[in-house]
Amino acid sequence: MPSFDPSALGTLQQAMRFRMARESVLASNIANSDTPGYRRRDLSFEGALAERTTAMQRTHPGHLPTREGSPSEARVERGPRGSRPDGNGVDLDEELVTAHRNAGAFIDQANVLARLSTLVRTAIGQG
Amino acid sequence: MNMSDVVDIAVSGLRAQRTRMTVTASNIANAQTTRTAEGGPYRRRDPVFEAERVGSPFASALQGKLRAVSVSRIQADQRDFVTRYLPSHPDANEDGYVEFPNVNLVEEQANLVGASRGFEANLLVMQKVRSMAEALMRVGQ
Repeated sequence: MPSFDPSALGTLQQAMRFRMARESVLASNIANSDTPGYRRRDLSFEGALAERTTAMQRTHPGHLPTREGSPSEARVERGPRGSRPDGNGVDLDEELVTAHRNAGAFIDQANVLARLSTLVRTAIGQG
Repeated sequence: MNMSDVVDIAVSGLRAQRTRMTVTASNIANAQTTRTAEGGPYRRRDPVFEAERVGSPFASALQGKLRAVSVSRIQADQRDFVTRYLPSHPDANEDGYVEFPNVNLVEEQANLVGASRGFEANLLVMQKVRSMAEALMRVGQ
């Protein structure tokens, strides 16, 4: 039987932080869907992931620690200027779909976290 | 970065779109108004939206990049008034012409549709954040 890996909780926490941060960036896009000259922004998961995986590995305890990946390090990318006369680059429908999917991912992760915490409580005899 | 930021941003969007709807309503209501306090016919107005930073400037790097929306000013439309020949009108000039507001009802209708769509989109964001918060509450149960 595979043992419970406590680091899964940390990974989940990071993922949920990312989803929350991205939801606020998407909310900015939706709020500014009629602001002249506003260009859409997004948090790039791929960018954050690449930063983490290409970070230097500590092969010796004396090495300086590398930074942990976090949403604040995830890059905020700006989209192009829009083709509308006011230069706004936000497609409202697209933003809504993205925000919906992103919130869905957060909710899924929260459900997994709920299951994990039930497991932990069972293990320490408080389930 | 937290839930209240998302709510603040969505609320700013709701407010801005509501202002836009109010301004449009005033344009429609005054589509035939030939007398105003400033003199002359009613001049149509437009709200000007502006992106605005949210959150404390000393917080995380992400917060400096979030934008709420605000109405920076209400701008008067400088397009010409519509002139019609109505000699019996009390505001007709010596030649019998009356200046009517530069309001185009079709344009205002389109504005109303855009404003209510924008309003709904921000409302949807609020609902999403709410279900995210509810999912988080279930973790402790």
